[in-house]
Amino acid sequence: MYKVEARSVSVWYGSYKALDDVSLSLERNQVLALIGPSGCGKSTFLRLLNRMNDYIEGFRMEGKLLIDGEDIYSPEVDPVHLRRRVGMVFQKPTPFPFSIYENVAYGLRLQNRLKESQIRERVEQALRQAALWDEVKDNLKKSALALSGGQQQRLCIARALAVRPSLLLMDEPTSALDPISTAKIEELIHELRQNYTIVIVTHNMQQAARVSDMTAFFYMGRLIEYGRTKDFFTNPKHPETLRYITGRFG
Amino acid sequence: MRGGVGKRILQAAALTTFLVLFGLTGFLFREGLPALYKSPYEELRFAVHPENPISQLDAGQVRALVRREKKWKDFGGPDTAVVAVHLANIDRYVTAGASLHQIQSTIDSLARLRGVLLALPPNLLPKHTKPLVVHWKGWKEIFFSTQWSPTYEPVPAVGFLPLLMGSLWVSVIGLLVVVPLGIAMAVYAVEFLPKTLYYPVKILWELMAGLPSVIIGFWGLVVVVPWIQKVFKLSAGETALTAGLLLGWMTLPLMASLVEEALRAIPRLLEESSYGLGATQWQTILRLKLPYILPSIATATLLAAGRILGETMVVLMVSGNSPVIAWTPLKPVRALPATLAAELGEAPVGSYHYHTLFLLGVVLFLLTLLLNVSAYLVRPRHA
Repeated sequence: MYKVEARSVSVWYGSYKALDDVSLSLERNQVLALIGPSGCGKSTFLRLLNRMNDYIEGFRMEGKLLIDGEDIYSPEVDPVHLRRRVGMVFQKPTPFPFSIYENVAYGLRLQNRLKESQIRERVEQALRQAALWDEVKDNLKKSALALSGGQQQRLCIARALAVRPSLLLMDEPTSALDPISTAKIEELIHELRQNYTIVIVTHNMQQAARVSDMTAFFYMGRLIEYGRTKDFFTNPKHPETLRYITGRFG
Repeated sequence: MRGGVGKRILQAAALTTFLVLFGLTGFLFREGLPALYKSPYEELRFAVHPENPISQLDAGQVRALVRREKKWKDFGGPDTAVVAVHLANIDRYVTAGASLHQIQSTIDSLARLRGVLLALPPNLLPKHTKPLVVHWKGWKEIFFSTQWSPTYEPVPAVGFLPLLMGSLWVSVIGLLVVVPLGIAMAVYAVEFLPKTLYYPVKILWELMAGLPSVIIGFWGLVVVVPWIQKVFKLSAGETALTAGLLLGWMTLPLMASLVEEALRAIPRLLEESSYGLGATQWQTILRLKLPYILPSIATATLLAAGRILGETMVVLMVSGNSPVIAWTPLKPVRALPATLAAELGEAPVGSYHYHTLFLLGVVLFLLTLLLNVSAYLVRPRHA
């Protein structure tokens, strides 16, 4: 069984077709990079995976999208429950204006069934996984807004991990960060792939090559090429892909 | 030259506005502060019968004697009834159209009564009487006296407390209405109202903000006052509660607009982060959005309080205008601005009453200033 499987997925926003007949499948514990020029549909595809597009006006979808073999757009699926299994990190750090501790505990408190001691355990665990624990363990009560940009983004990763998802979505997670913070996040992605399946949208070709096992190239709403990252960058099959990865457009 | 004539005109307009505001504030203080050091009966002399052992009283005691709430005996005087004689009640003792001579002789014969209490201009005061010193406690009289009766003769009562209490009741009730309802209205408009309905609703709500307060007051008088009277089985429906409810309702558009603006300014990614963690819409509202806009809610509350505190017409019409300290909101009260509106026209310019009303204006000005400065200090600073 694949972790993620898309079967002929098409998406419309009103009359605008954002995704056209996309099919792909991703194995467990792999990192998938979605690349392509702006407006190509890669973010739309990412946001399909935790049903974040549901509330956009005029959104309509056809095809099937399976996570762990379950059709996540079937009427029985509650998006609220789905999102506890599918975490998301955004293109800018989005710390809540609370303390570091409360930020990480936010998702845990939503479910109302953990004791405070369990929450504390999970917060520490998540911060360790996000490689932030050593930097903040003495200041958990400090406002999250006082952290640096890179720390804030790792906090957001910890916040997503605390709910224990099995699939992690990252929408250009390093686009607002400096090179050192970016390197730390990439290193983190490397470690996380042992326990998680990760889908990452990136504008940065080198990043895609560095962090991912699989790469998907989107162009004008269609999946142009999909394959193992190694082959993808060394031996692209499609001329559009070659033009894009060599920087001739996009 | 940059700007040219247009810039000069704008500069002049700004300068004029500033000077007028500055002048107005100065005028308010100049007319108000004398109430703190003047006495309301500078032109009067007090006197008693020569055999009356009392030689000094304070203003409140004199008032109590004139009102027959107290007797001479209570202050160590003779066991006789008090006969107050002053300019406002002299017509009780002389027939209309009496000459000055007749008035003088009437006063002279009244002065022979052992219980007499005279409060007259020096030229009318009979010779064989004993002067009575009446102490006026100045600002203590204004800020600690619990009565407001500024035209009472011969010694007025000018305690601000009943009026401050009236304003406090009306503001507290108004805020209890406007804060929760304003937040609810804003949350509903942002989160639940279908887009097609939003503009019609928003237009109505802005229209409500533009209703002249006298219309609201009139509606309150005809509809809300009888309703309150019936529900609480009161003899009169004009109460602090009535005024508070109407003012809270009237301030709703302001409060709701400020909160709505703050809700709409929450970054979309922050909202999505909450949903992305598996929060429901209500969880996102209660656990992220409302805490996030707390500084804005505080600012909006203070601004609404300023508006309620300064509102005149509605309070004047539905609060019952009774300057007596109310211990429950089901009593008629009188607020600061309504007092100014009701009394300033009748107070002779330069009289003590006139100065106390301006001092009341100064108090109102300072309270409003305090609210606005606080609103500025708690304003949101993130992002």
